[in-house]
Amino acid sequence: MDVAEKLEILTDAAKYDVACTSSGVSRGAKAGSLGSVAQGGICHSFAADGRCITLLKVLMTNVCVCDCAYCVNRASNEEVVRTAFRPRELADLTIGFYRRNYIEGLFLSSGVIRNADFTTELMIETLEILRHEHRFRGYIHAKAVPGTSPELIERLGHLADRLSVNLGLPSAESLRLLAPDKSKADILAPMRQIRDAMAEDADTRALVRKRLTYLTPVAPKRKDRAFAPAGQSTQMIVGASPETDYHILNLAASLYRSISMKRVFFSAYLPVNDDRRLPATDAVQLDREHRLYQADWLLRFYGFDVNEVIDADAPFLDPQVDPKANWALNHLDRFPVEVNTAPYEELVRVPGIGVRGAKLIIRARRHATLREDALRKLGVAYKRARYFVTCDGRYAGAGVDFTREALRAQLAAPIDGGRHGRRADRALPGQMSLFESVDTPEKRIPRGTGPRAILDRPAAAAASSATPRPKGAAAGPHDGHGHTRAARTAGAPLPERRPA
Amino acid sequence: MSTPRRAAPHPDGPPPEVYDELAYLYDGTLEGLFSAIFASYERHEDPTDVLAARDLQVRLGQHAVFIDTDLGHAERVRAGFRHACGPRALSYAKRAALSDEPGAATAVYRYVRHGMTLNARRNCASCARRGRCDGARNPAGRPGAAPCPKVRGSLMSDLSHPVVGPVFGLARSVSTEQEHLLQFIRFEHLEGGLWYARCNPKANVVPLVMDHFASRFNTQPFIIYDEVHHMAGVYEGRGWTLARTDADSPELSLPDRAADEATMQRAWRRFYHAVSVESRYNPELRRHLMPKRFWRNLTEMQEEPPGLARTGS
Repeated sequence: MDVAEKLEILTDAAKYDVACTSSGVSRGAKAGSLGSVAQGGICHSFAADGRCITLLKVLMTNVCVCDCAYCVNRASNEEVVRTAFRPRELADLTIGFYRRNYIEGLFLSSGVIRNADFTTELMIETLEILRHEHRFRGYIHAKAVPGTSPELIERLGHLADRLSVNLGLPSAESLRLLAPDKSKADILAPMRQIRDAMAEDADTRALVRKRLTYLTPVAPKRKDRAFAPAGQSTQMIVGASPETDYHILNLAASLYRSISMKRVFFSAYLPVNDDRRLPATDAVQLDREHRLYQADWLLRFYGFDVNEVIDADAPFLDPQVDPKANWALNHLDRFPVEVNTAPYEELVRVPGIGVRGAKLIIRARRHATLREDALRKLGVAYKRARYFVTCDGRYAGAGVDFTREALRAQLAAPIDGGRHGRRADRALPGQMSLFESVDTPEKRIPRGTGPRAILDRPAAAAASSATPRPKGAAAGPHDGHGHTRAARTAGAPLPERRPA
Repeated sequence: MSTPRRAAPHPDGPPPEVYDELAYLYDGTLEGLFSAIFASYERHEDPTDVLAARDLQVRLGQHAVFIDTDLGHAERVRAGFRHACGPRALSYAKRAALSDEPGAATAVYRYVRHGMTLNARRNCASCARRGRCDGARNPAGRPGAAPCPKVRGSLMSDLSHPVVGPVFGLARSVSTEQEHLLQFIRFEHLEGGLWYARCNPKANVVPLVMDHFASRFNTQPFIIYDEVHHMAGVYEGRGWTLARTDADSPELSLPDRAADEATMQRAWRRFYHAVSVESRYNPELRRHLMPKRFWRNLTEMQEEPPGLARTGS
């Protein structure tokens, strides 16, 4: 089997891991070695599903001794072709791609081959070839396999920029049910170890940097690699188990707080295996994942507390309104705020004003009073923001009641994730389509109540359509034309003017 | 301009004529633009348009003057503006000047003029900082003496000002294009150890990405060829240079691809197709994040590698 074929198999096996970022650390180039890392990361390509490709995301091997119900590489999937990279093959491939500016670095994960330690040793060997032989200074993200001995994690952490341990599922019970080979303790142990090693490494470096004499310190010949300088991340599958958004977001918040996690990734459950422990559905909860990420951003960048984003009474995020707008609608007593005087913390909580918009507003308002036109030019989503701000004392959201319901109707924005993608398969009640004859109930009832209208109408239909049906019921799911045709024959005859 | 003006007499130019509006033309380089700005001060004129000569479209009643590039003048404008308004204000002007948008050069011209006027008009007598500010000892804003820190601040952040706002917007769009280039440049390995990439950016941003690639691939000599602006960034292992290619015959004579190139490209294409999750297919999102205009130079979006010395657009 040649390397390209292995690459295809092992990429295919790795693609369900959603995390793919090359950010969190900045490392300049160095004469004689290859590569550098940019703080914000660089996305080099975008796959057909719209996700960014920044790292060469592959598995070391897709051989696995675990049998997690949701995983494509589980031991009981017999039809999957199994293979493995030799460390040198993978290192050479990474360098070849990196030199062509295809990638920012390597994302190395693995199935568990023999045992966790053996797997991690293979990964370490690859990273050592990259770092020491090729003198590669690019980004490396490595997965720490639960159950690996602490010494190996220590070595791995000094070679990689970011480590991650997959949480897999958001609760211990779900893990017990769906991933019987893993346990919560197994997963949390390496997480805690990584956190402690990072803190210890940072402390040591701070101590060494401290100048204790007036003599010029001698710079060390060879610098030690920092332990996971870009921190650690984790990911969990959403929708394979019954946990609520409330539970998931609280878990994420506690991971940020206690394990000082850099990122928590959510992955909408994709059915790849037939298993009766798994939910029997083909629908991928992409919208739910989207809302979870929005809420996650609020926690990390907007200064929200998890209790403000979601509460136990409504344990799922609103699919119609994004979490920030939802918070604003529930706290209308705090609005409108004056853009020319409000502090940053308040500006950033206005729907339609983000971190960048708030910073620009603060910058610009030192020189001039901002009015509507200036606000539009600064790149604020004024269409949404206008209900929540005053510009120089003027409120521009007039015409809509300043009540929760009225504003909610203005802000409701179903996630429009692609008209031609798989999301387009969703049945949206009440949505009109161009190629489907639309029968709205208003049209089906002949206008007027005069004698002519009643004469036009057959008796039976007149009785059935006397009460107009709600609009949503008429459009129905987009399951072909049979439905609409049936509705038309059952309904009243149509006026001649109506186009066929 | 509402009042008719008279063109400044030029020793060997045509006789002065009466006109309503004036346009300055320059050769399209940053130095040319700065020379034009210098000329506007030197001749006491205020042109309505400053344009690269190739973009000229004369308005009714407009008189167009070509300004020769003078490196000495350009340097005086650069240093004077930097001194008056600070290095960050200058970097915004330089970035915005790289844009291909029509009117970019005019926006930069107005922006520089605005900064210099602010600097000259400052009123130190009523300024609260006058006791401890060096600029207060230079109340006329004479170049060479201390600048006013307030001018430096306001030129950078007065984003709702009709002169500052457009330059900020242009600079931001140029930065976006620079980021696109960092993302979507694809190098090919040629025989003899040269690496070659071709790109088609919307702004003249090759100079802005050369530092990044030269430091990242520091042992690897490369050429980045911009087929829109007929410009090539060349790195040969020590320092990089820009080379302008002839717009009429942009054929480059390049060696063939190296032996491993086809294998690597095929492997990358296989990776690209394998990494996408079928049930999340979302072409709109991909097109939004990776605009289609870049696809013709992206290895993964081509079935077979196109000819190396393809004629530019």
